[in-house]
Amino acid sequence: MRNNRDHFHNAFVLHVRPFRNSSQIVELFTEDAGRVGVVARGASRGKSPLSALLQPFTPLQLSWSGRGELHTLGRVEMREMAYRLPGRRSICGLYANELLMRLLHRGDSHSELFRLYHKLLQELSEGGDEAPLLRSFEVRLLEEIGFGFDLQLDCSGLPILPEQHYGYNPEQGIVPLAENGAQQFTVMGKTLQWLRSTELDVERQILREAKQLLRTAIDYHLPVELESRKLIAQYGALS
Amino acid sequence: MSLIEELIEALRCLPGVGPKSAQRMTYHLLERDREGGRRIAHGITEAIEHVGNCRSCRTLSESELCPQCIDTRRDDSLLCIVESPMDVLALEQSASYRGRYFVLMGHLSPLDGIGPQELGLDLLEKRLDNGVVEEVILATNPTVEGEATAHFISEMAHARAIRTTRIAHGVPLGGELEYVDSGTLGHAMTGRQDY
Ligand SMILES: [Zn+2]
Repeated sequence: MRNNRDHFHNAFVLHVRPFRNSSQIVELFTEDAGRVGVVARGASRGKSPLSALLQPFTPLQLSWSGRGELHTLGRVEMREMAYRLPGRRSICGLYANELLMRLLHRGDSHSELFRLYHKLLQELSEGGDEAPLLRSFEVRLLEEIGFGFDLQLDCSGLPILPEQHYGYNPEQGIVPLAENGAQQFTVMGKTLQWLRSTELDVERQILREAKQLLRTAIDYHLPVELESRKLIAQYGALS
Repeated sequence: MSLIEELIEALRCLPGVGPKSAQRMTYHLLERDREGGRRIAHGITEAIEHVGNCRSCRTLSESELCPQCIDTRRDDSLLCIVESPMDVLALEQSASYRGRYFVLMGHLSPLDGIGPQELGLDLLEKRLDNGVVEEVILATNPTVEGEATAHFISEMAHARAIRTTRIAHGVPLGGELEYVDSGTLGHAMTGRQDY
């Protein structure tokens, strides 16, 4: 990877935090270099055009220089208008950001995941039901980082059947329920089949099962509680 | 570390003060203005010791209730939500607003562990429940997190059938309220919209 000021990378901002007295540490998700941390000098000085650009959900092109954990941000340009995620959807976007921040290691390249993330933002900004969009992103994210599960065959090697009940065990994968009585929850085979295509038109029951399954899988790999997920739940409690 | 070095290092916590200016300030105080230095030291110690948060609106205050909360001429039916005490100051200088404030002292930021609890939204909820507030004016920063915070609070208000408005005009995207000039800010306040 060339780290010089003339080489531009496609990127999104995942998180910004203040650093020293007028700088920021910016966590980026880039197309060719995965998650990258950069220092933006002077970005939190008043009226800095940088802090207005370094916002989540904005397709950026930027360069950086230097070696080590934290690079120095070079030039930043807006590639396209920022995706506007109204209301609750912005929390969904922040949830995707939190997943990427906590599950990706710095410097591992994930260009397919970058494309999926970009697509998620675009679809969230266009309206419609956010649940299938999030489930689709979660299942592809787990696959991309090597934590995916087989959605064609159960753990004993038999094809997944739509009307059969299954359980999930992080160590074994998808378990036909007859073999494993003490399960926290069950998913129907058709839910697992839906996760292969994740088309938007889907029954609520399938979405509910998919949510629980993916949540269990994510929690297994992430011992910390996701703050944005807590926030989405608190949202639900408001109305 | 010598006392001089220690002071230089300490001054660097101020916004906009780099190593060079910290050095200049230190030598200025020691060479030419020791009395001024004493006043600064006293001022900082006293302020840190005695300034807390207003019990009602959470802004910085040395008394239990801040001047804006005590002022009986203000309109109790309007409640303006801002992120920081500096925003209250900026809006007060724009002289466009005579209602009450609620200061979040931040915005929702899941990755920093800042949720509704940390922003005192339980206190805000009680305020909205007492039936006096008729309009909630959302004046959080127009950043992604500021917008998310505004929306969360608007849901709280709508659940109680309270009207919400959002200041909109002239505040640049990603801009922070405290840096907007008071003319622009006054305009933004007058031209607020339903949200
Ligand atoms: Zn007050």
